[in-house]
Amino acid sequence: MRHPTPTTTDETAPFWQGAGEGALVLPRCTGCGRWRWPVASACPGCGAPLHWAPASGLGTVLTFTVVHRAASDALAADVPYVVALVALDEGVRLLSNVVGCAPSEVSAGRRVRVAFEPAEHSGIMVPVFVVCEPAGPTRCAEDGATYVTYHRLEPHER
Amino acid sequence: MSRTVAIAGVAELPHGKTGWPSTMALHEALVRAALDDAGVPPDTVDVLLTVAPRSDPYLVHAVAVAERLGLSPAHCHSYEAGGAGPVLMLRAAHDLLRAGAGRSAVVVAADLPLTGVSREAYVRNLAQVGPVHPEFEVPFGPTVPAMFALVARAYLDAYRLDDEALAAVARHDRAMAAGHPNAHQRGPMSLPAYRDSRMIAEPLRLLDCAPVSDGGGAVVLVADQPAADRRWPAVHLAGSGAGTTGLHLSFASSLTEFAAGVALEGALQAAGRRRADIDLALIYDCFSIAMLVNLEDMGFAARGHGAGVLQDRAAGAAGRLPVNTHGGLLSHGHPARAGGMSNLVEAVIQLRHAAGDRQVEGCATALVHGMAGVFASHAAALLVREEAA
Ligand SMILES: [Zn+2]
Repeated sequence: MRHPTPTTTDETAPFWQGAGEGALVLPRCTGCGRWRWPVASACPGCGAPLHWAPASGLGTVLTFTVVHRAASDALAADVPYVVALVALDEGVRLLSNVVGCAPSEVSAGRRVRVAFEPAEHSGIMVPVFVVCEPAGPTRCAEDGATYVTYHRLEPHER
Repeated sequence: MSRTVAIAGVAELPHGKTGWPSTMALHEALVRAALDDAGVPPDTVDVLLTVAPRSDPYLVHAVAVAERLGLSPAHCHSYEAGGAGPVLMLRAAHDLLRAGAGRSAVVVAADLPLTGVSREAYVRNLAQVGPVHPEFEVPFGPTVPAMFALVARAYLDAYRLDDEALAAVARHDRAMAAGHPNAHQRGPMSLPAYRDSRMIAEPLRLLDCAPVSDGGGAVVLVADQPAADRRWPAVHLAGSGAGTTGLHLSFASSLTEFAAGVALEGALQAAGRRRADIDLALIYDCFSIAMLVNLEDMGFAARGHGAGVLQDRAAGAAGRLPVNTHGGLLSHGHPARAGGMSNLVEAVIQLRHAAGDRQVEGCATALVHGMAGVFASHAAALLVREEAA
């Protein structure tokens, strides 16, 4: 797809840096361990700082639409394309595209995994999703997850 | 001693492609017509509230409108509240007058998305500056209809419904619009015609989407207007409420339940009234799915049964709960930033018992609902006819 370029900020650099390296990196609470979305300076639940951690990239389609009238001239060549809300196994949702299959293969409840595609002009990699084969990866164990810190928010950045 | 504030004047012009030379000319015409309707001299206007059209570059749009009219109201504000703006402006104007801020107040919202910029440019602009997150949603190409389609798919899946539920809304509004001279889309709509309309973002078709319309409206409120000066039975704001979830669908906690009910509950409490007192509901329905979810969130139908309220014309002027007797945004029109103004104007006309063939018999209490974004923020007002106040 010819993805429009996101309007990024310094605050979200780890997300885009991770995407450029093929990793879905999201804010996670250093206190309660919950994944948080959207980006914030502190956990809305417990108030502890958030840091950036790689997520499994696995999720489930919650709802989707097949877009027939494109959002821009650039995207007109890509219709029909699928816009979906994906519930990540980490418990947060991303709005994205399901690519690499016919729109008719997409349905609510379908398991998907992350992939990355470049945005137009900027080349910034954006996270999209592809359907998992029926025998593909299953839900990842929340408590078994390990993560590394890509970028820790420093006090002056909060 | 707090003052009595009444809605004394309204104005609306035909929606559609209008050919007005500028948004300012349209605002001027609407304000003058509403002041005429109220029988209020322009120099008594101490409060002027507006919504800035996207195309207007004024620092404070309301002040520019006042300047255009040759007026100097003390309170001149513009609102950024999407389709909840008209209800919230009504409340603000009402509260300002009650608090003694002036003699009369004007609330106006109008836009010309079909004139000046192309419909195509308008729709695309909306996808960029509308309720689509610039960083985490824009790269995936969701249009505004696509955002509502995500909710529609979730709704139809959750309650195992098909497109007839959506068609019921579009067809209801169209049937209502046929009786309103200012409505944008008035031709009949059969179920086959609905299904023949092209797919925009599945499951939403062209006829599930409100048309892009030029248009708008204005309302005049007056404090302590002597009965002898009144041209119409007074209409009062009995109470209002608001409710908000969040701006972007990515971060919504539910995909089928939002805050219209919170807004209505607030209004009912403020007005000391019950849901059963409502004689007419004017629901913000920029897409067919919005009507269903909002009706259910407000408790007018069980979950998944919103369409039942509208089918078989039960919700027409003579129905059990009359809904959108002006045709709603879907058929009356969606004048861009002024969306929701026609709900307010229709409520006042019905409460005056001046709606002609579409009059709701004995209409004494009307609900006006407004909504910003993709179910993001809601406002509800209960308007009552004088003797019911
Ligand atoms: Zn926490």
